Amino acid sequence: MDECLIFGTGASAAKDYDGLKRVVSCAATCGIRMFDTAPSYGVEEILAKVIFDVSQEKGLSREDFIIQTKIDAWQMVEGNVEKFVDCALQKMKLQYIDNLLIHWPLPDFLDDTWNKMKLMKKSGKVRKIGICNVRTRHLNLFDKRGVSPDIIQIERNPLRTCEREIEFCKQKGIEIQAYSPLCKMDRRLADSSVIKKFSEKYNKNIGQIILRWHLDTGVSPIFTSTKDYRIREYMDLFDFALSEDDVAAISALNINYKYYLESCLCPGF
Amino acid sequence: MNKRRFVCVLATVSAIAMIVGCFSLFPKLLPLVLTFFVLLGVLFILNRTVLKKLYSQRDPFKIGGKVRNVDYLIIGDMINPATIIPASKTFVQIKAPNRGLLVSFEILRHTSSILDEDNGNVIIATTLKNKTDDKFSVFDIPFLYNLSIKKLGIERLSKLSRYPALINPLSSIKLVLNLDKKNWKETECPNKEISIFCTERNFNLSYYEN
Repeated sequence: MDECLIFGTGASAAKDYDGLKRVVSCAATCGIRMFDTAPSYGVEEILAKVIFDVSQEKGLSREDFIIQTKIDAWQMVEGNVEKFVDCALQKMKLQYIDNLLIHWPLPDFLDDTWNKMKLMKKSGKVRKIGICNVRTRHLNLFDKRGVSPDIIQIERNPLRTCEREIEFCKQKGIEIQAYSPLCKMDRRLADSSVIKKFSEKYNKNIGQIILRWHLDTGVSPIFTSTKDYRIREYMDLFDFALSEDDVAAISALNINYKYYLESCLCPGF
Repeated sequence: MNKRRFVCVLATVSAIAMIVGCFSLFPKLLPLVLTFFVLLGVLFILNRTVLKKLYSQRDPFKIGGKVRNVDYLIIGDMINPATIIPASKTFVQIKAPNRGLLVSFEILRHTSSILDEDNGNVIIATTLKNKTDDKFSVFDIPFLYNLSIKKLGIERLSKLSRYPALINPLSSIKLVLNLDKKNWKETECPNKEISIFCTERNFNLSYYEN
């Protein structure tokens, strides 16, 4: 899969049908086809309905969209992951889920959940399977155990470049997605003289430069917005590319800053 | 006026009414009643102070927090960090009186991501008698994930965690007054699981016993 922008429906996304439809419709018009959600976001059902309605309006089909959802931690703990996925398929009125990811790799439940996801992939309920919030340590361990995700989704931005993970995944042909790609526009990015310099050079705003940096480093960023103009703005990235030196300069901002501390949400991480 | 303030005002007014009522009906009971309410007041203030202390220990772990990639994470009993780590190093400490080794490990599993991934140091400090203690206390709850609380079967304790001074007044006083224990000695960590945990994550582990 080529790198692309993914529209997320996490914490700061619209939660009602009308709000979500407006932004999804705008996103679809701009060419975004991939939508990320999770049970904990509370919008799986609404998102699926919105995508169905938008596809009808725009003369698109189900196959034109990529719907991605996750297995949340509490579902892993309860076990019976297939039941939750069947429930999601029913609620969302889908024949299949394109991408199913483990949200947090709880060590005690990972193997069992992963095996069940592999079976679901085999049966066609799910097309690709992956894991969120992993480090190279996990990927190496998975590799030794023959666990090969199709996708990983990690918190990644110029303050946390995850170069080891990117390198590993590129070697293995694993798709990489980045959540919090702008680090919530942390002041260290918003006020960065390096990024401002490129913003002037390419005549794009800071968000656009950072999202382009993700694409130029082989990563698909997941962004969220409730504003149409922002969605259009962030899709206006494909008329330029950062040079290698510019990419390196942005990557040099790395301080391994984590917005989310993984172990707090995934004990034993 | 918000709900909490309303409850506080109501409780104060009721207390005063009870005191006045007691004084009118049973003048000899007044000293007892006064003592009771003074103790209650002290307990209330102690509870608030302990909670503030616990939440300040938990504060670095909040989403979007600025404290990250610290050099040292110190978990366990009441140990003075100045005696065990160089002054120039950054650290986060999670301490409570009589915290056992196994409980400290569980807290480590929840908090290790705050450490510098390449050069992080874990320090665990427990007393000899708490080396094999796996009993959780109200002071541990703020650092545990809700699913862990369920898995460990300590939901009842979790509900009581807002009243540490009531449940454990002596330890609350020690925590508030920062009564660090002395005579800590560094020794080999008796729990191999902790050693393996740290090795897998590239952390250096130091264990102190008292």
